[in-house]
Amino acid sequence: MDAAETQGQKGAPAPPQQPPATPGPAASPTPLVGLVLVAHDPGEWFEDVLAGLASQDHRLLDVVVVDAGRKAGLSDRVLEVLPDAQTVYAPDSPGFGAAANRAVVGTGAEADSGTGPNRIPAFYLFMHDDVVLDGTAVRRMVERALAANAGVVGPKVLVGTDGRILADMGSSVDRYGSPVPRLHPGEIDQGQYDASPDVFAVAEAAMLVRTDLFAAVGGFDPEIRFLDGHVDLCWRARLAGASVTTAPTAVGRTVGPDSSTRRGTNPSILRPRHRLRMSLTNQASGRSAAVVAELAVATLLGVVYGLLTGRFRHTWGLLSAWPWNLARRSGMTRRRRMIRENRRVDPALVVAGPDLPHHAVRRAVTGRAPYGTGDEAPSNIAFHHLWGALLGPGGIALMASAAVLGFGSRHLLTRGLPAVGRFQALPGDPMDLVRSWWHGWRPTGFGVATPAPDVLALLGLVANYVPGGDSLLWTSVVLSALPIGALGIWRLVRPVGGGRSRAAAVLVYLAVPLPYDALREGRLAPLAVYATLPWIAHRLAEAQGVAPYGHRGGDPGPGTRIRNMGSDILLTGFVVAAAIAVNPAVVVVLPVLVGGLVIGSLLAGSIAGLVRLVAVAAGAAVVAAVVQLPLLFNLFDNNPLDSLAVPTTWPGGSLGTTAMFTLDTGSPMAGPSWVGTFGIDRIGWAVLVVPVLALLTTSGWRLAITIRAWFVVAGGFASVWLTDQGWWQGPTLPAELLLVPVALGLAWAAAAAVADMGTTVSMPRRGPDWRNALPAVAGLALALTVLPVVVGSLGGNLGMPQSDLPSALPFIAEPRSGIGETTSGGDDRVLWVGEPTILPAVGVPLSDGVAMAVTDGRPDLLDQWPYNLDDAPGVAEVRDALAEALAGKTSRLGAAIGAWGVGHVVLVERSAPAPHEAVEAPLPPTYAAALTRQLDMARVEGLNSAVTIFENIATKPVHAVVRDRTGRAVPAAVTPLSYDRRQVTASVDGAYRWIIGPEGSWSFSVDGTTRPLVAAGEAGGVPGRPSVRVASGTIGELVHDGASSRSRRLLQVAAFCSVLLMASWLRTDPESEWP
Amino acid sequence: MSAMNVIRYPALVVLVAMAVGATLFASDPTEAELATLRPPVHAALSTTPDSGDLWFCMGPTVDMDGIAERIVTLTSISDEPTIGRVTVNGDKGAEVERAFQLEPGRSLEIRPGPFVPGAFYAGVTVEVPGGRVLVEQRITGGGSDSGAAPGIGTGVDKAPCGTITSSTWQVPWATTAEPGNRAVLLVYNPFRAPAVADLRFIGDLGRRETLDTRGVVVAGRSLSVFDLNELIPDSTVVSASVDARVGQLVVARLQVSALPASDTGAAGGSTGLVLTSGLPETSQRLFLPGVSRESGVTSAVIVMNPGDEMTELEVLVRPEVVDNFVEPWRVTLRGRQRQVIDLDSGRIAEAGRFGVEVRSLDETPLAASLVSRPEGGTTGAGLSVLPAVGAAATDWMVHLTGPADQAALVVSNPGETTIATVRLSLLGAAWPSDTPDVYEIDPAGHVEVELGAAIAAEATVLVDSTVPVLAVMRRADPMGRSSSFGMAVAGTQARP
Repeated sequence: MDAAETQGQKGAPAPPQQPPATPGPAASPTPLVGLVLVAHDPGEWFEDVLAGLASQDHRLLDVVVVDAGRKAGLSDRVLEVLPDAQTVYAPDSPGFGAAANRAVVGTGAEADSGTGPNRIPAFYLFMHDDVVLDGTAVRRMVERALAANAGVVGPKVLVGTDGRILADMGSSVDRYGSPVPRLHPGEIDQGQYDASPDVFAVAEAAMLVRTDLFAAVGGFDPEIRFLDGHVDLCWRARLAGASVTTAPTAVGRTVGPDSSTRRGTNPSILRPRHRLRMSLTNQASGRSAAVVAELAVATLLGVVYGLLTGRFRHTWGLLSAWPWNLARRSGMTRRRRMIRENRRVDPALVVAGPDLPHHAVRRAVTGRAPYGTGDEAPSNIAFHHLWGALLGPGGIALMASAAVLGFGSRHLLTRGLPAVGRFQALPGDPMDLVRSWWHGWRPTGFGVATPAPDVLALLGLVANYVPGGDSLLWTSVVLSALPIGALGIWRLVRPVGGGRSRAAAVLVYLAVPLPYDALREGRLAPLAVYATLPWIAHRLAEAQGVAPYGHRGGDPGPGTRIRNMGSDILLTGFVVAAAIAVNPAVVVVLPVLVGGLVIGSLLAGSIAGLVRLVAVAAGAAVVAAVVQLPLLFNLFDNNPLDSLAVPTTWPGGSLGTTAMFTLDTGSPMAGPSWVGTFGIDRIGWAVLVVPVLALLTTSGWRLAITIRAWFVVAGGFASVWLTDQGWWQGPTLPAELLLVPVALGLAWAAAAAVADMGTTVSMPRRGPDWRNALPAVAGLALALTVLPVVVGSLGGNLGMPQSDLPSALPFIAEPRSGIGETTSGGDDRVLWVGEPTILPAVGVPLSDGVAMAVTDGRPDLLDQWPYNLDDAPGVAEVRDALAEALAGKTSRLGAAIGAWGVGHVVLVERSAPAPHEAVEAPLPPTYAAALTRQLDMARVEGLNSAVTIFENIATKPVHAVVRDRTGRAVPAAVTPLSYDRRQVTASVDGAYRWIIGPEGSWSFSVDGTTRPLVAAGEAGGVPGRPSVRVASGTIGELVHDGASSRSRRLLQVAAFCSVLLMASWLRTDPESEWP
Repeated sequence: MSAMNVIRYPALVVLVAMAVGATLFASDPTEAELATLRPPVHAALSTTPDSGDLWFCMGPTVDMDGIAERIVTLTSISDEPTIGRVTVNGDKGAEVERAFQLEPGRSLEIRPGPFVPGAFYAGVTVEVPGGRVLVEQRITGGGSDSGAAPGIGTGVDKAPCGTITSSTWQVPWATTAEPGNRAVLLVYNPFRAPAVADLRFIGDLGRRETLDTRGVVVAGRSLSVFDLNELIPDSTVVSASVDARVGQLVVARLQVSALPASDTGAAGGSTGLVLTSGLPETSQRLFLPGVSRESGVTSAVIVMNPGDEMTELEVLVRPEVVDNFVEPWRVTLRGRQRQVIDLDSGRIAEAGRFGVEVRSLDETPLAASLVSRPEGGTTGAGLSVLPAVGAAATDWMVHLTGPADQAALVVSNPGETTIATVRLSLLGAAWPSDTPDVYEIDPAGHVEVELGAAIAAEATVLVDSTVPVLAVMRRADPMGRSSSFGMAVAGTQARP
């Protein structure tokens, strides 16, 4: 090996070497190389760069150093190492290209004089000031240029601090002129690129250019100051027919800090400018226009992307690229003319590279793109990781669980979710969910202005635009609580241990009976909390930052991301707000979760991260409150907190400690007839075994996790116990909901236990040890835990009934009239009475354990969220009338409730029709007896025993014109024009009155003119309700005023976007773009 | 073990303490108490403004031959004006609805006939949202000297109207025996929706079910009349069952007897008029308090098995004097069969005043009635029928509108173990000092209080007992005799 080829020790620049004393035989004249080194205030490494030049074995080397910096004294440093070198000054820091051009022009002018060292070189070697060339580099580049007849030759550039790693081996360009490096970051030099030296553009650090070619293509583009000048030059060289190649044996090493940082340049800003300039200059006209048009679109997308992700420099770069190039269009024209004159190759062939089109788009839009297409590509690596995880114990547990649950819910997926409890069907027009959200009005309870959860609007949008049945979508949404919750647990425990611990956690979380009990009883709130709480817990754990969720007390585990506090607050707040959007009841269990973590941390003997945890929790609460502004406004509008909770019945002591500890709530009102846990509830205690083992056997940070998890469990148990004892006086929430933190804590502790077993079992021990039996015990307990779910899956409906009440009530279960459907007097209303859980709509309490609900025809999802009774005076009146009937004070209940358009009263005593298994909640017989004694109501016979239906004979139409003389209410023809607009046609003269709430929010107009309201009881009006005078044949529009709601929604959207934006900005990875 | 792992102990202690505490101090499950319906009594009166009443009165109008008068009386016991509504439905389909306001302590008499001209029968529904109104009905038959048509007897029936509607009714006794007996079954549907009912009869020759009595539609707010003389002619005892397939009904039977003297073989004739409510429920234990053996009056208990299965029962006599034991009648009844127990047999010759209990021996629900009428060969007016009841109450009101010395209040304790302490009082007046006002009644015993002249003719007797009792008013009127239960105070009903 030639001594000059020695690359020196790894990690250090090669030492300067003396040229060989006796040059080898020269087969051909040695070409003169003019080396142009452009220096921009280089650091102390510059001497190494100069030494590298001094050590070159290429004898005919004229060195010109261009001082393009602002500091003085560079020439002295140069002369100290290279006495023969010439230093020229390029004032005003013109950039690499302009400085290099100036050096070439200067030396060329002097060469014309034909004296001294000023000779016309055959090649120019343009170098940056941060690369140290090995002693043979110049010679090998020249040899490569001569051998390959190449116009441009570059070296192999290695990372100076680690001589094994490649720094630059040239690049290609994509469709839009973005350089695409051949390398992946951190790639080790194994000669993998040496066999294919031809490149589109050589390394930026040093490039050898044939002099005539340099002159022909007009040298460097002076407007491209840094970064892409070499690409542009190589591009033009290729257009001129020259080849561009790399000399793999010519090695250089980078030194000094990052050049962009040192020069104060930012690739995010420069690259879009250069990309556009190169596309405008170097592409053929037609192609250039197309590319520019595409770049314009990419710019728009990129600006949006930049604003969303907080990459403002990238955004500025994209935006400023256009005026920047516009201001420099004259130079561009000249260069295009020059290229046209020297072009030898079709430009389309020049840019055609191996890059994938979507990578080019992504690069133009985001400034980043995945590099590589082989196994080493990050996407492929991530894919391999995913496969590895899926095929590991945790992934297999997830997939097996998905298979069991999919098999277990097959009938639900194919036949639809039975309309049990809150699981009522979507409205006939799913967009009504969106309109309800937007207008803030729902038809339930005679019309209320209390908003429903935001997620309904999203569901309506999806149902409207996604093909397929609404039933399947709704079923999928409800059942998705299980996989979403499991995935949340999977992510929560990922840092704790390996696949087995994740498997244990997922199995425990999926095997607890509470989600299945909630399914059977048709409870949405517990399922919503079950799905969302693990994600919130994950955020809080990372916010606390205690190992393995952060640096405190140990090393972070896999998948942990360390964030700043702002990012933690925003993200946690966003997750909490999203959970509230699904169901506001989640706020009830958050204090339990936070309290459990705090107390658990204290009892684990550490206060590490507690302040941060509490601060993030408090900040997240504020952020969530901002996002949920309409909800907050409602609370400020004197709506009690109770109005957010769906009422339920929980007789004191009905749950009991056994059901509580086994998380098998069953049905508090069903009593002993209820069979929990798919009929095998005796093994319910098995769910506690592994978490208890965690408490007894873990150590170190896993013990700390276990204690925290157990105090979350204890908090959940305490809330359930207090409620079960009847000590809680507020609104009663379902036991399943309060037990979700328990399930979460148990799964968390189970993960810690199994992770600990994985480490302790592998430890060598002398003789038999009881700890060796732990895995078997844990495995058996887990098997027993999941057994009921596996058995329960055989039925195909996860224990849910096979039929529902609407199927038993076809004649009153008609949906509300849709847009354009004309009815006489509007839709009949139905009054539902029964235990609040099994009612097909959310109601208001009527008496102990009994509630009543009012719906327009068939109940649907719009009727499933509570409202404040103060906002529904009609419901209050009907409730009073019903109470009077129950007390025997009236025998004309029909007239009283008929005034509100109630056509049927349904007493509900089962959640599903007989004989299907269902939750049974018999009503006191006084209800049927009282209704039977009403003189203006008729019992409808021959129906399913789940319901007792009374038809109201004295009902009045919802929309009617009241005759002046007789006071008779004549139905008006009503045609819904939109969700909040109805066309009303009066058939007689009189006072038109409508029974839709809230009072005062509807106005009646004819031909665009709002008719004045006649107050209730006034002359010409109607007793009890405001009305409008109409003549026979009058056609008008009844319009709901939802301006206030719309304003609040706009505010919410703005707050949502702001928080999302800030969260995105704060979580943006600050790493610089590649390359 | 490392010091690091010692931290598990505080947590363990706290968690174990919490678990043990939760287990030890957990309260027992509270059984959810479903409010249950009070057992039905013929008339239950609300005495507080918190609840209201719905009264149903049925009967003939004066347009019917032999009916001299029918008055529905509404008496306020409230201290504030009462607003209500009266609806009259004639058997010809007419319907009239009127609102009324009743001043405190005042009475309002309604004669249904003029409301529905041309109707022979009328049902009256009285709605009193605020309660505290007594609603009674008095029907007076035309005497032989009143020009009534032959065959229609003189008699009087005075009883509270009913407050019960039901889908099943039993009428154990009627008679269509020729000559001189006329019986009609009144089926009233006070509700808007039509009702559909099946009518079954048991005559001397056995059961009778024909197509024309199956699926009978009783239109909403109408009164249907079934002439038992046509359906089961010349039957000594006619029993009837009404089962509503759809809707709820009120059922009563009007019995008019005017037995000519020639047929009785005596100097005079036996006459009587009685309108008796059907039994809205069957029961395993039925009570007939206040039976007394009077000369010239014959009494019988008619027991009826409305079910389809054979049953065994016994009829127990509960003498006022406990020592006078009477051997019970043991009866076996096939499904839908009835039996007449003649109380005039020598078995109870020494019993004195007594009550009767009908008890099923195999938990089969039964129905029963007590029929008292002039004995053969005697002359007089006074057909009295008392339906057996299975429920009692702790508080009763009994309204007197005639001479008090002709009335006797019978209070019976149907319980078998507990002594009833009964206090009598008058509404708005003092109880006469010469009459005891507190009585202790042994289990299965009864007390009969003669309401002497000291009590005004217009008075309301309040019966307040420590345990559920039965209160029956027996009246002896020149026009005839009648006996009826009082009005239970709503909410005090219970099974003995």
